[in-house]
Amino acid sequence: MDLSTIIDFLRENTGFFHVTWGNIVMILIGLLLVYLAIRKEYEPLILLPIGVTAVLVNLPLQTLTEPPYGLLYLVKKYLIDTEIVPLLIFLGLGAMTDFGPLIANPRSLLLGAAAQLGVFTALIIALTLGFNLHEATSIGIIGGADGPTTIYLTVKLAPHLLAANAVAAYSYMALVPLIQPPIIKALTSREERLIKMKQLRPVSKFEKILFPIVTIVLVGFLVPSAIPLIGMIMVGNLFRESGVVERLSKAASEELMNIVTIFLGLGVGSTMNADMFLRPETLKIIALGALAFAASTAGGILLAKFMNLFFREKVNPMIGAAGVSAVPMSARVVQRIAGEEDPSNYILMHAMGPNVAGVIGTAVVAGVFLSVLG
Amino acid sequence: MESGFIDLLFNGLTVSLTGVLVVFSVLALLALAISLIPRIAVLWRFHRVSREARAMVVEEGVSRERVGSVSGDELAVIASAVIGFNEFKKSVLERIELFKKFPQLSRLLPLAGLRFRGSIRVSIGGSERIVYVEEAGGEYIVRFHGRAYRVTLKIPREQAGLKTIDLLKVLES
Repeated sequence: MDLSTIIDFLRENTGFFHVTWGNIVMILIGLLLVYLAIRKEYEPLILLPIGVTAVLVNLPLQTLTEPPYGLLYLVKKYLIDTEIVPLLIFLGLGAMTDFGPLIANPRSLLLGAAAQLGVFTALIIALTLGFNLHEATSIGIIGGADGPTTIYLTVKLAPHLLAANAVAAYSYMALVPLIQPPIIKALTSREERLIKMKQLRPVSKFEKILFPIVTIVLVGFLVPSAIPLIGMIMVGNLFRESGVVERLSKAASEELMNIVTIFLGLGVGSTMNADMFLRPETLKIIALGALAFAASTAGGILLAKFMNLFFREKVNPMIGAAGVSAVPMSARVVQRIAGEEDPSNYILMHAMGPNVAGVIGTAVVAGVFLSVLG
Repeated sequence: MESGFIDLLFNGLTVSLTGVLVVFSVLALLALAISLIPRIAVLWRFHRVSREARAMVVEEGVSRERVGSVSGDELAVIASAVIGFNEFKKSVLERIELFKKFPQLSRLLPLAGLRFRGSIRVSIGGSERIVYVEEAGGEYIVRFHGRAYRVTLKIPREQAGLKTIDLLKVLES
């Protein structure tokens, strides 16, 4: 065996001679996500698998994404493209979510609706930047700050943007503690931030059981295309609140949730190859995502201030910012700012109302987009 | 090209406007529905109480025709007011250490000439009323809408601790 044979062998069978600059950049991006997940704990449950999968799929000659039997190919084709994973995540979210604060203060739902402002703002700006309507709506939904909904809608309307949209959505959800405080402080006065709200009334088990049923029926009749998302979250919630299927509730919120989160990370990460991700559009999406988050935060705050003009019982306008449905991150951010202004002011539970309302709002908006464009 | 972009933008604005309208309408309706849930809970509670009351009437052989003198809505208000009044009374008594330890002693209060009375805010089906409730020798006087009702609350000995409100013995005074 001479030297040229050895070199030919190495050229054909090792990655060094097949790697592209795109692969190298994507590997670095993947490692950056891994770093952020481990070191900064930015949404580690999702960014860690996405990051490490991004590294895997950009290794030259890898067969994980090769049809017909590559593992990541199968995960994406049968679990992400079919939308099974985002919907099962919603089931788990429902089993983990306490809608009590929302039931105790139904006005929170309006704040959740107002916090969808960023979705529409980003949509319009995306159109002016050259995206088509399907792409613009899938980018806009990032402003809802709801990862599974973003993935669900993007797979249906603009699957080629899945990686960029998912990474933007989850990255910004992790960056809520950095994005929201300056906007909250800019839009509220100190007096408004000091507003103390009356303690929420206790919510009975009967109300908690009736809530998912009422929501399914009402939203089901009004926006049928939102039913996959709303239906799943409410089924999970009924498991939780009924109190008679504790095993199912636990399975949905723990075992199933963990499993589908792994598949979600693998499936999204598998789309992060250089050809799909390293485009000017990705940078635009990242920028639009930040804008969408900021506008959604502002929308919630402004409606809360507007409501204060009419209601006798004033709401602390900061809770409007929690309408951005990064649960429970944005509610915690609001409580942190309230605590900084007045350590005796506890508005966490009040902020949880708009927070979970935002999840419902984003799902409804996604349903509207699907019924108009799907 | 220019008109194509304007069309696209117009479509985007249409979709956005539709989205805004739908999300606000749906969530506002949902808020309305949620705010009705506690009222449904009250009605459900009333239904259970009145069902127990019917059972009591059958046992005691009181004629059912008496129901005719009091409408379902009035019964709902009376039942809710008496329940609320007793909650109020309980919360007041529990603040006193003696009654907390020996709740039976509270039965002696009427002998000392002490009677509870209070105005209860009752909200059923979206309408709110102030109902005046007063203890009267083992019964309750309930007043609202310019009318007064005498209500009997019985605690059968064999079911100690299980309160049964005999609403069908409500007599319009």
